[in-house]
Amino acid sequence: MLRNYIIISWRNLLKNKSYSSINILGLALGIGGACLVFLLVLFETGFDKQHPDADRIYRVVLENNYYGKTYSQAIPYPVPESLRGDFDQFEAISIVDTNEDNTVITVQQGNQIERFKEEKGIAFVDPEFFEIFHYKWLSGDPKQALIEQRSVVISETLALKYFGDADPVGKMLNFHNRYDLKVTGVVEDHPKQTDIPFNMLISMNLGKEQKRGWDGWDASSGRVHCYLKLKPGIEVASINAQLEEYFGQHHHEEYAQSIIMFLQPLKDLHFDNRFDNFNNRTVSERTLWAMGLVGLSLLLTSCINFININTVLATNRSKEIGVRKVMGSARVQLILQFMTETLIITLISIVGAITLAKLGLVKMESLLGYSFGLELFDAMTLVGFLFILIVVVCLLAGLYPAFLISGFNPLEAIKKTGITLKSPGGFSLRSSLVVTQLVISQILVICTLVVASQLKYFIEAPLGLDREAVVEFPLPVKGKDKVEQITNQLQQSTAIRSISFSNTGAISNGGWGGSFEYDNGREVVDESTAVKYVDQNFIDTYGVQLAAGENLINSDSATMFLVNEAFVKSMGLNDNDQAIGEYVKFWGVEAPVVGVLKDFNTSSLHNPIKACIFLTGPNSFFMGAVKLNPTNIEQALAEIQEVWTTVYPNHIFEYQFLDETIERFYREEQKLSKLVKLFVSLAIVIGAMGLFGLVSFVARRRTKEVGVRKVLGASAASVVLLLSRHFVLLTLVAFLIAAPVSYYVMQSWLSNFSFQIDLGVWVFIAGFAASVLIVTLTIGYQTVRSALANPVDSLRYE
Amino acid sequence: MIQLTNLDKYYSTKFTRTFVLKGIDLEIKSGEFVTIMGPSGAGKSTLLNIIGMLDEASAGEYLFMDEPVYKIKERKRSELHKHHIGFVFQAYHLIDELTVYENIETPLLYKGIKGKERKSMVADMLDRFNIVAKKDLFPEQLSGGQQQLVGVARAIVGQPKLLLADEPTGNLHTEQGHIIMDIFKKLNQQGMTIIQVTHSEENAQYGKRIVQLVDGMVKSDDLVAAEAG
Repeated sequence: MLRNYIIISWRNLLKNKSYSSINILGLALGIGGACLVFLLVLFETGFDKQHPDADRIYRVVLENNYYGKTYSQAIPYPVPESLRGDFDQFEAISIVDTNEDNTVITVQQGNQIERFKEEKGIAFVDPEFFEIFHYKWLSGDPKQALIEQRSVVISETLALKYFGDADPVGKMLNFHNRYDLKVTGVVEDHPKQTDIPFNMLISMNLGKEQKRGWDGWDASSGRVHCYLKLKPGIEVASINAQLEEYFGQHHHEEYAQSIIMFLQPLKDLHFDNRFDNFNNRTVSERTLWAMGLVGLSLLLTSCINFININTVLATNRSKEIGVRKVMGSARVQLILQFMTETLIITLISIVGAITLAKLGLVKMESLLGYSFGLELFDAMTLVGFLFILIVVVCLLAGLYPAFLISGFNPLEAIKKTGITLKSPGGFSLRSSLVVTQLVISQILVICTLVVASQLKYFIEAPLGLDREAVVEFPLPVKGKDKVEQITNQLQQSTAIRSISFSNTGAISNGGWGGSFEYDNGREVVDESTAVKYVDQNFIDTYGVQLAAGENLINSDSATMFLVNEAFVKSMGLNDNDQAIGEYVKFWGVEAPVVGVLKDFNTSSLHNPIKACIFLTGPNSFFMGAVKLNPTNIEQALAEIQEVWTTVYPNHIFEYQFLDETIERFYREEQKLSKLVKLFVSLAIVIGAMGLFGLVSFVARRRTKEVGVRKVLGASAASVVLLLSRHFVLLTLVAFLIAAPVSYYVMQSWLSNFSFQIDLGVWVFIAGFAASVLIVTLTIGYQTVRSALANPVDSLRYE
Repeated sequence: MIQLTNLDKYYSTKFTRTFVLKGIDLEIKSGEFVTIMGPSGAGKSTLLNIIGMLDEASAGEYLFMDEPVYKIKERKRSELHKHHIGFVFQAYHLIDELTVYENIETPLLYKGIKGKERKSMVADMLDRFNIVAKKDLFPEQLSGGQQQLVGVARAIVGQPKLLLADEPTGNLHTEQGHIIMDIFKKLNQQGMTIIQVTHSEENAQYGKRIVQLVDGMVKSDDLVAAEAG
């Protein structure tokens, strides 16, 4: 019996080649897309699973309620040591200081000195670090390795790079011309799925002279975290209760009293976007859910195709069904027969889907910029997923047609060449399914448009500064003399218009912050502000506008301030001019405001423009910026590199154009947008394929009607209208559902950003127009063909 | 075997009730060969379909093998189709995607007959109808007469007690028609009950009894005069 089912399924597949390929290709695309989404979700949810007792590992984080609610993972350097002394509930606690990127490692190889550049993966940690996080040790003792002063544990890859085949333990390396470190252990490279991604772990024990960080609680760095592991059985809630006022107890300033310290579970590290992590990449669970929904939509769309096409095909098979019933087939047997067919198609599609997913994975990894490191069949979970998918698709796509078809009255089934499938209420199930598909594709199209235009806005929005032809380069060693050296040598160049130094550049993610005091006559204002150390060329180099007053004059210490307009508001003043000459107290210096800068974005458009104070201080410069003569960029870059290298002979020059830096702020959104585009085009293709199949069938079914109408004098245009009217109507119905849903979804997505586009009507119109266009193109060929057909041909056969 | 008492079949619209069959009383015993005749629209096919349980009567009683049919559930009905009733259609209604062999085999699959026995039963049929050479062809590759041979083979391969045929020769040439009717006659002689619907007087003569339907009512019910010679 099964053989009979399989034979007839196969022959039917071959007989209706075009419909079969629509079915199979559609399902393959849908399943393939769903697999990709599944892989993505699998990857993102698999972070840091390698640590034993992961549920006892926490990060110390802060909630600051002083100015609204802000969250930070940045802790002052003394915190871990202080916590270690005050709590005995911790099995281990360690600082993780990653304030060293782009470093130079010098290794003596025989008589030769080799320099290596390490961009990232470097952390300064306490010896207890390895009691918290699991690394696989190749040599060295995890308990002892970092206790020794100036010791370092490196990864297998680094060991190979620095020392070749020789045993690295006991060897020396120099870190950034600063620390001489002894290798005391080698660990296996960290897995891809970790937010503790270190290749080089250096002991915090660096000796008194070279001690890192500072002793005060008044400053913190976003890249200094504190991790700990609770002893078994300790309730995190009880610790959190004790931590609530801990910060304020140790730091007596007013604002510190509103800082709540608490523990964030390790498992949230990858998802909680209130905080940053060492990969600078969190994925909100909402994004994952959204991706999951997209995957589900793909699956649903392809299943709907399948249902639509199979129900129309069923009418071609009504005779077979009738005959089978007459021969004594029970309904269950017919259902089984059609489910077998679905299963066969699904299995073929799965093979296609796996091939497509393999190709898609490469594409997706290049879009995302990181590799999953997952082979498609590595994960047993994926095999399981595919199995579940087969069952789900078979039930979703196969069950309804099977039920419908097997329910035909045998007599009618045999007699008539086609069965009309109508459900009560006049709006057939098929129409509802088509509407569902259209709703899905319209929502996806609208969302894609919104995401894309928000991105365009991000990248192109006026920031209040000139981002063209500005090159920034970091200063690896601070010091006034170095800055002067560079300035003096570069100033003569004709390729360079101006050169400026600052702590962080004009715009950056994560700047410096502090608080200022000002007596505006009514009250003494004590507000937070962003801080930029700059020089007098800052304004020219970055193209920032002066709104009132004058520019700064270079000096070694701050004797005057520039502020931005937001700062003036913070002072409680209404007018920029009022601020000029006013004395502000900042970081112990009381000095006058000499000028007000027009507001410009000092960080990405995710954030609002905050108050910012600008002061001179050549000893705090970490970033150089050069405004280039646009005709001479190559020459200028070469000159800068030459000068830079003579000033920092032991370092490696690198630079970045400002516009690229700015684009990089929106990396995550760009990835998301590309990914969404990929899946949306998939969904549209699948939906269009199904529609094409449906329309070609309808057109064929109505061949006779069209013929009669034409004989009666209908024009080709009226026939096109006749055949397409229904679908255009469905598109409209779909739009009425899709528009509010996508409005709601996009409104909530946009609310993540301080600077956002308005959700204009045009997005929805464009979405609808796209949908109409797709529908028209899809059905156009068929309808025009039947409209232009000679009626004699169609009627002759009847 | 079949007992129809005061059987009606009608279609109701809002105001009227259109009778297709009215007050049919008919008894058909096991082993009979009955021909139902009458003008177009007299209700012949409807009567046959009701007897074959492909259609339901609107009123009246129908006993099939002493069992009231209106009480029969779908499951039981397909059991009856499987084991007791074979159908032959005017338009053959072979399954296009199955070969001759597979078409004949299909009812046996539904009957749950195991491989070896099934093979020999199908082979027997192919042999009997002289279509062994055609067993791997698809219906569209056969002539109408050949298709109907397969149709008959398929109807009787499961050894039903009752064979229902709706204009079995309607689409065939005279010569092909004779072949089919000869087979029917032979089957009847072997004990199979046959009911056929036909327009052809000639074909009716193959049977033993002729029921004339006019406007949904039995006009006459006569035995066929014994063949001369």
